[in-house]
Amino acid sequence: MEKKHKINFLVILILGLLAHQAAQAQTTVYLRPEQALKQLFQGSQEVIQEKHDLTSERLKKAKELLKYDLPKSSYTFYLGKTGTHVDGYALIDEQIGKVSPITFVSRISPQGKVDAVEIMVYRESHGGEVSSKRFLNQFKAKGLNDEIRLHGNIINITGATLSSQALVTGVNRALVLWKILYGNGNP
Amino acid sequence: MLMKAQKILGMVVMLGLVAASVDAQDPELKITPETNSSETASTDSKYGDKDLLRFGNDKQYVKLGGYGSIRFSTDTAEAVKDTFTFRRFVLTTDAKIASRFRIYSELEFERFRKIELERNVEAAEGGLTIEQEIEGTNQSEIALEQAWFELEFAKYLRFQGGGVLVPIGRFNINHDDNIWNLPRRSLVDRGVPVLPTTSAWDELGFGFNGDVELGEKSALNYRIYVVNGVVLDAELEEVVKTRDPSRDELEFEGEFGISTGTFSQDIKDAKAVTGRIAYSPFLGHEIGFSGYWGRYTPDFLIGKDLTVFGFDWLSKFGNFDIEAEYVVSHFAGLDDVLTSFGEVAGQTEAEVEAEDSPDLETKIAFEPSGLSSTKHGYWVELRYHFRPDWLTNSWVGKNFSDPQLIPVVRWEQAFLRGLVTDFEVVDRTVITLEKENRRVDRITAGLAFRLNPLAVFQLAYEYTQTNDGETLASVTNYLPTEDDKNHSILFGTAFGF
Repeated sequence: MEKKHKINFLVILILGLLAHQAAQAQTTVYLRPEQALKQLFQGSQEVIQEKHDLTSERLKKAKELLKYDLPKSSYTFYLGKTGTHVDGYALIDEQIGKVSPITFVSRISPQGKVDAVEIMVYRESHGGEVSSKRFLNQFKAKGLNDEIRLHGNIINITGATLSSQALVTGVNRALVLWKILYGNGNP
Repeated sequence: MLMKAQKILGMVVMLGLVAASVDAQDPELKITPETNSSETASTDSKYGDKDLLRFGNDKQYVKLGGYGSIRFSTDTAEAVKDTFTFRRFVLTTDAKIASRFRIYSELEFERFRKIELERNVEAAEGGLTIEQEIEGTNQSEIALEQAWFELEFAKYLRFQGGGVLVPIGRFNINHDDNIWNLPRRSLVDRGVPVLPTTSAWDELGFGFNGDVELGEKSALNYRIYVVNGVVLDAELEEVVKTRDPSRDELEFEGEFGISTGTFSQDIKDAKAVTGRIAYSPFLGHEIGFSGYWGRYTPDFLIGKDLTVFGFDWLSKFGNFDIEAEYVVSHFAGLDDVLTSFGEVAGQTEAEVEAEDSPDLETKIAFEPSGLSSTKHGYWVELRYHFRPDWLTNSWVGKNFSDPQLIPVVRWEQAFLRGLVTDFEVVDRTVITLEKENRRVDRITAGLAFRLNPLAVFQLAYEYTQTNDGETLASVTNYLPTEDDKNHSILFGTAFGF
C-alpha cells in the first residue's frame, strides 16, 4: 500500500513538472511592445513615438537603397530620450519568414548602427532559434555600410534559413528607414 | 500524511494545468493604443504572397508546402542514357492542431508520372475470367516520407511520434532538395548507399527531441527514438523474356535486401533505438554524433543486429562553408543470416524442366541485393557564397532577395566490405557464398545560381569510378553500366514553396 502511494506520488510529480513546462512553452510572444521598449531604453527618461508617412520622394529613395518597394508607406519610430538627447531609435516591424510574419524590434544608435535586435512574436512552426541571443547578437554594431548579408557577415541558423533571411531583410530595412528619416540620407 | 501531501500536490497540478490552458491562448499583439493599426499588418514577403498557402489563425492552421527537383544528365558510361528526370516532387503539410501540438507530413512522388489500374471480372467461356492491368511509369514511387505528430512541453523537450526521419548524419534530416547546391545526392546517403537504406530514411516510432541553449553562444540539439527499424525484406520481381531460338522465359525473382521498417505489423519482435546529438559551440559551427542499433533480421531467421554510427560537421567562415558526414553501417553475422536464410528457403533457384514445358522456361530465384557485412563512407563539401555586383544589379539577379553564385566541390568515397556477389543454396545448404570488397569514388564540381533560400539552378560535372575492371552497376543504384568509370554533366533546378 505504501509502495502504491509512492508510485502515485511520483506520477503526480512528473505530471506537475510537465504541466509547468507546458505552461512555460506555449507562447510565441516573447515581448509585448511596452516590454520591448522598456528593455531597449532602460536608461532613458522617456520614449517618444514618431509616426512618419513617407513622401513619394522618400519611398523612391528607400527603393533605391533596398532595391525593392517598401511594403508600407507609413512607419513609426520610438525615440528613447534623456532630456533633449536622443539615446536611440527603435522600429517595430514585421517580415515574413516562410509563411508567417516575424515581429521584431531593432534599436539603432544615433550613429546609425544596430544596438540590439529582439524577436517579439514568432509565428513559424519551426526555426524559432532565430530568437536566440547568439543569432541576434550578430547584428550588433552593424550599419548600412557593413552590407548585412546572410552567409556573409550574418550566419544563418541551420534549418531556419528563411527566418534568418527575414531578419536580415528586416534589419536592413530598419537601417535604411533610419537613414532616410534621421540620418544624412534624408532627401 | 502522505495522502494529504498527495492531495495538495494534486491540487497544485490541477492549478498548473488550468494555468497552462490560460497561457495557451496567445495574447493578441497590440503595439500601443496610439499606433497606426497598419503597423501590425503582415508585410508582403519578397518570396511572394505566402498567405495563400496558409489557412487558419496563429493558434490553429494548416500550411501547405513542398519541394522538388528536375534535372538533365548526360553520361559517358555505356547504357546510361542522356535524360531529363523529374527527380522528385514532394508535398508537405504542417498542421497546428493546438497551441503546442502539430502534425507534419511529406508525400513524395519520385520520378512519378502516373499509375493506372484496370480490373475486370466476368463469366466467360464457361468459366470465370479476371483481368488486371497495371499501367505506370518507369522507376516511379509514391512514398510517405514523413508523417509525425509533435507535442511540445518546452523547447528542450518535445514528444514526437509517427514516421520520423532517422537522425543518422546530417543529410537525412536536412534532405530537402532546395537546401543543396548540387543536383545529385551523396553516395553515402543515396547513391550506394552507406546508410542501410536510401535517404530520406524514415521509420515508425516514438521519441523525443529538443534544443538547449548553453549560454549566449553555444547550443545543443538532440533527437532520440525507438522505432520498428530496418529489416531484411524481399521484393518480388517478374521478368518475361522472349528468346528465339531458346525457350521463352517467365521468371519470378525474390530480391532480398535491407528495406525500411514497416508501418504495419513488424515482422520482427524487436525494436531499434536511434539518436543524434549535435553540439554547436558557436553559431555556424556544429558537430553531430549519431547512432542506430537494432535487429535487422525477420523472426523466421536468426536474430542479428545492425549497428550504425555517424559523425557530421558543419562550419561556416563568412562566405565559406565546409560540411561533411561519415557513416559506418555494420551488419553483424551476415554469413550466419545467409545460412539461416538457406535453411528456411531450401534453395535459391527452381525451374520447370524442359521436357515438362518445352516452349516456356519458368523459374523462381532468390537473390541478395546490396548486402555487405560493413559499409562505410564519407563526403566533404566546400562552398563559397559569391555575390558579384553585376549579378545583384542586373536582370539576372534583380528583385531576388539575395542572389548568389555558389561554386561547390564535393569529394566522396564509399567502401563496401564483404559485398555478397554470389549466393546459392541447394537442399537447405549454402554451396556458394562469394563476397568481395569494393570502393566507389566520386568528385563533383559545380556552380549554383541561388535566387533565394527556396530556389536554385545547379550545373555540375561528376567523375565516378570503382575498382578497375568492376562494374559501377553492382555498387551504385543510379549508374546501370558495366563500365568502371563515368563522367557526367548535370543541369538541374531545385525549388521549395
